[in-house]
Amino acid sequence: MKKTTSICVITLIILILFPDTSYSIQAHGGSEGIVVHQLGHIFFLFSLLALGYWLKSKWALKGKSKLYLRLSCLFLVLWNFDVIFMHFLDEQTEIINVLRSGFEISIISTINSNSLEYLYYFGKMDHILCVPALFFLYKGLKSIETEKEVK
Amino acid sequence: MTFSYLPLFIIDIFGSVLMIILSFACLLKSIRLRKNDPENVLISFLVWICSGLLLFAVSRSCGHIVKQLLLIYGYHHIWEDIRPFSGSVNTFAFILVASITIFFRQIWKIHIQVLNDRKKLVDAHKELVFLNENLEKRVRERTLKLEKEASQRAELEKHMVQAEKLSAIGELSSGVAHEINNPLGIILGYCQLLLRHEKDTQKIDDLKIIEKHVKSCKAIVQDLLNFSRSSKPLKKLYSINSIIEEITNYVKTHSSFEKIEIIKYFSNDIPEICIDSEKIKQVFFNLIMNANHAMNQNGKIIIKTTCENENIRIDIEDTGEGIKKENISRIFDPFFTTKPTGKGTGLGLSVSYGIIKNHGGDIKVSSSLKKGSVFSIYLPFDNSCIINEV
Repeated sequence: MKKTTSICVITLIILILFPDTSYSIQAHGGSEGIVVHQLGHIFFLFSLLALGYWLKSKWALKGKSKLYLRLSCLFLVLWNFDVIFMHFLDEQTEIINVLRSGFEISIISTINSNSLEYLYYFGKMDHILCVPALFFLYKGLKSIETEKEVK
Repeated sequence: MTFSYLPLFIIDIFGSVLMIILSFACLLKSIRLRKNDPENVLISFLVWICSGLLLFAVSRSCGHIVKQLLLIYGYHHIWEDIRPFSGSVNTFAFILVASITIFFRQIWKIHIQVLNDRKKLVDAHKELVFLNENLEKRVRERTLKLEKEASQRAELEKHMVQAEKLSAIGELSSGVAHEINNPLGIILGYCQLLLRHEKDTQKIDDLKIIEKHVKSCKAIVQDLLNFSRSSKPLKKLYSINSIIEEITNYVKTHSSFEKIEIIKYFSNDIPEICIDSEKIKQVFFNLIMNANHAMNQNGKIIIKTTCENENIRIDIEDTGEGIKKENISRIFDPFFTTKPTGKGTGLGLSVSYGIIKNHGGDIKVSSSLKKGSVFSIYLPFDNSCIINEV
């Protein structure tokens, strides 16, 4: 017991007298944020695909409620594909440059691809996908309520 | 290529507002569903999903609206400061929704397992309740059966005791009666012989007293012999109603029935049955005479015949003094009598009981003091004599 205490005290004294960088906590800078965000989207996409599959076969939903919930899943999956692609493009400054001035937006493809420019412009309208997803979720919940009232 | 930013702006702003409105509506709807069905795991899951989507929609939409406004008014640097927070909350929100979705599958599996187990428990409970109820029912049935058996056994024991008594008394009385009958016959013969030649009035009166008492002794001895020689009944088809009619017509001629009214209620659907008419007549005669004595030769005798459960029931009711409670159980015992000495041998009811039992029937009595008694005779629908003849 006394031996252990002596070793601890000596180690502490050495650490105090000769300090240096520990590197015990990793820093999270650079592109880590976008990587986490993209991984989050992939995880979300995978969970929605799984939910759509389970809804098809096993869960205790029938009729319109099931259809609406599956449509909601489908639109959220499409939205995830869209945003994953758009986040990817946003990071690719060597192939696409965006400049906004007032109510005009310049999308310039460095590889001279007009289709990529159009794709970027329309891809930014992601609400066209996520708003219907929530709308169908609401319709699904309403159908569950109606089916329960009928029961 | 240069595009108009207006469509993007409009879709972004309106889309963001719609996202907030729809996610709120979804959460409220799911909460309402859960209120109506709080045990539904699927609806609980939808509440969690809607909560996650609301967090995501609000953070993302607010971020987009703020972004558009800041960029329009040239506050680009402020947006750059807010952007990491808005993005982080977005990331956190949809990872939360995805996690709920993924892990819900396991919860669903457990839920299904719990439901299955609950169903099994409910089934087992129902089975146990059924068994329990059935057990109670079976125990109740068995108890009733045992009670019935015990009562039948007690009845049988009572009958056996009665039969043993009758048998013992029968044997004894048979021997005694046989030995006394002959000397009595001789005494009576000599007494009547002496009476024929005697002239002295005093001696004639004495001899008549002797003759009277010897006759009384002979009657008792005859009763004893009748009681002990209970031969097998000679059964033939007879109508009970006509036998009663015959007996009542006979007793009405007796002087002691002058003040007695005999009322008869005969059922028309009484079938003819196999009986020994002489013995049954003796039974009715005994009962009617007993009724007469009980009423001190003044009152009503009501005779009723009915069909009851494969039996003919004959009720002989009187309006006499009734039988005391302590005597009820003894009235069929041989030599038991409440009449004064010399008025009865106590064998009438005992003999009647034996006759009815020999016919496979039963005889019961109910009585109220000062109101009267009812003797109920049950004779089975017996047609064995016809079959024997064939």
